[in-house]
Amino acid sequence: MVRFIIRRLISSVLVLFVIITASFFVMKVAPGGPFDADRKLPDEVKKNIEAKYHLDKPLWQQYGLQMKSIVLHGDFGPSMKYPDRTVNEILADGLPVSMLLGVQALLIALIIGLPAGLISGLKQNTMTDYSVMTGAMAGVSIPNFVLGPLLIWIFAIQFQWFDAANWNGLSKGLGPHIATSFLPSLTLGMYFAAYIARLTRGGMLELIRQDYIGTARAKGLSEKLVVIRHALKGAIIPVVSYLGPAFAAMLTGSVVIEKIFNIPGLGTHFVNSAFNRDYPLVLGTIVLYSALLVLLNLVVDVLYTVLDPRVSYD
Amino acid sequence: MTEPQNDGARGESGAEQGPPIKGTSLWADAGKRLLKNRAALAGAIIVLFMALCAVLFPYIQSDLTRFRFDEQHLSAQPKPVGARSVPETFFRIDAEMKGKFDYIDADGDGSIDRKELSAAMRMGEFNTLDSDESGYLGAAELADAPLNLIKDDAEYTLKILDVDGDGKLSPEEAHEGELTDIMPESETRFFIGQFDKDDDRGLSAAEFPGLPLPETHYFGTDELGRDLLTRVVMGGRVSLLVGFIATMVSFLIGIIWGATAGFYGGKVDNLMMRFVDVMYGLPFMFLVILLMVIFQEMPADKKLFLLFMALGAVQWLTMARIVRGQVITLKGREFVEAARAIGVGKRIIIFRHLIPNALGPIIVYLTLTVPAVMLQEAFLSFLGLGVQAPYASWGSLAAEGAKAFREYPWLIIFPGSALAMTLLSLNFFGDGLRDALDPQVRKD
Repeated sequence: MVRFIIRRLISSVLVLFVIITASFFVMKVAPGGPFDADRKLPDEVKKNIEAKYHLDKPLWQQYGLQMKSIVLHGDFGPSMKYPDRTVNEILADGLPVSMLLGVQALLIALIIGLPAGLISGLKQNTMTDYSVMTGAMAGVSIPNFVLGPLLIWIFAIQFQWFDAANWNGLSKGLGPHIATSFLPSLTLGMYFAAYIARLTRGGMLELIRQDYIGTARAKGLSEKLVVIRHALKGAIIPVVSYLGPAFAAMLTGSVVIEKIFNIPGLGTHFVNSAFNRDYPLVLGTIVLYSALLVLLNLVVDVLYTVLDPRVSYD
Repeated sequence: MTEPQNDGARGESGAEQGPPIKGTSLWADAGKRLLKNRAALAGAIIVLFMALCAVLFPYIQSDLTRFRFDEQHLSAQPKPVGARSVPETFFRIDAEMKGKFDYIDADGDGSIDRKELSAAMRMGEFNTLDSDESGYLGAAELADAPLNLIKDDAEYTLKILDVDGDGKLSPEEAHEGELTDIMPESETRFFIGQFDKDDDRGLSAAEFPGLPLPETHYFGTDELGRDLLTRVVMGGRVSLLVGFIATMVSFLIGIIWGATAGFYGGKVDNLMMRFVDVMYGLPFMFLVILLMVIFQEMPADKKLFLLFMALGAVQWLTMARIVRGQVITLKGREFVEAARAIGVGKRIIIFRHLIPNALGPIIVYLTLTVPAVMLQEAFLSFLGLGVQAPYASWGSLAAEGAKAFREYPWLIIFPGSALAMTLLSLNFFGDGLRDALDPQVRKD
């Protein structure tokens, strides 16, 4: 197990290295720079600025400096668009917001998806099953930027139950936070709730036919206990293995959600920085996202062996 | 012993009496199962219908909506469902109006100019709304108007537009409020130009063919006055095309990569699949976003090509895994051995056993990739990185609609539902296809 984790960590570092390199060169190849915006700068000013960001050095040297700063100090340097702030500061502001949104969405997805899938699997081929599965299919088919405005229209405009625009984090307490964050979390989590429901149902159906379930029934366990003690654990396994990719997709999805609901998270920074050609900020966001992703995948894989002893990585 | 006919039945066909039991091929079997799955069948029909609309649109356009997708009918705001305008190209003409030349030629100079044409159109629309022929529009008539927005708020509209406060709208007030401005002067140039043989910017009695007839915007218009129904159909063309081509790209890369790895096995396989594993860890959509931002200034057609490639590149990893898995399993499957053992020729083994069995999961994955790619294209378009104006996809249309959905809900409702419905249908169809082709993984 330890060997597996070490091996995975090494390959993760490799992945991050590839990402930094690829993004760095893609950005350099691209036409247009951060400083040829609307107003043309005097040549000397431009030269000074370029010297400050090392843009006057040869490409390989720029790459070397950037790498060194990232690897040795974990420092992405100053932002080019917001000169008074470093990339690390901007990321540190955005990350908790995006993480909070992601975790809430995941919770909602699990709270809706797991029971729906369980019920659907236990009542296979009944009306309940069909309706849940049709709903789940709709859930994976409706794009979140269509669902978002729809939910806003229903719950924020018609019923005025929630506030759809003023994300304020936890600074004003839990009540106001729920009022502002429930809709975005639900919008983001819906797709995953639907997917998790489908996975859970599949896992249930496969398990319910296994011999050990039959044994449990034969020895006189009540149906409720059979489900809770034996079937549930097995049904959750495919869901756990899905959590890694789910989180990745959630990060991407949050870009759209943050835009619709006006949330100051990483996604907003990422798209804006790419449009502004703020290279250090782009690089910082991509590396942060990738690192999160790689780490979460590792955690999920380890969790997987704990839940399912049949799986071993050695 | 009777030889079974051309469907490959084996086994007890040699029984003395009774006809030989016909075996069914994998695909015939799957087809039968698919036909029983009503959701999948409905999905297939809807997708076919959408695809047919998209493909045939240029040929049936003049019968369908009569508006071109980039034709603008400027007004202060998007027009709601049921509003009417005069199409620029595919217009129909009310020939009876030819006899009313003198009436339309208000200044009596023997020529109908742009002002007079526009005024006549306006009056025609006013008369359409004025059902009791009183010469004024009352609240009841507004409530009956085909324009939904007015219908819902007839009293309010009346109050706003009724300048002289007499409780009803005169033709002038209706015009000022843009209620009857269905062919503004700026748009009359096109119509007059078509019939103006002597180039005097007016139509003489001989040139005048009659008044053009207005057509309904069944889905309303966007903020530039472009007919939304036409744009949704055009957008469907782009969305489906992106889905299809990007899927094909992923299919090509995936099948070459996967088949090579599976076929050679050993070290090559290990190396190639390890590469795929590493790629799986990348947040691919972010690289695509970066790519699309960076090459934003590219010409629209080259950018569309880049979009196909980028989206295909996101999807090929899973395809490579599936193809590799298929190749490896099939190499040593019992039914291949069995077929060989009873002396079936190599060619028949390949065409009747190997290919159909390998194709199943691949086709299923392809059907499910199309909606995934369409969703990603919509996602990119939403961020302003996908299809560029004047072209549109369902994603870019919905993105425009999302900006002002509170005021103009129809802008997101129509493209959004078209997209969601197509994705739903494709997913149902793909799911049904999987259940039909591989009853083993069927979860029921």
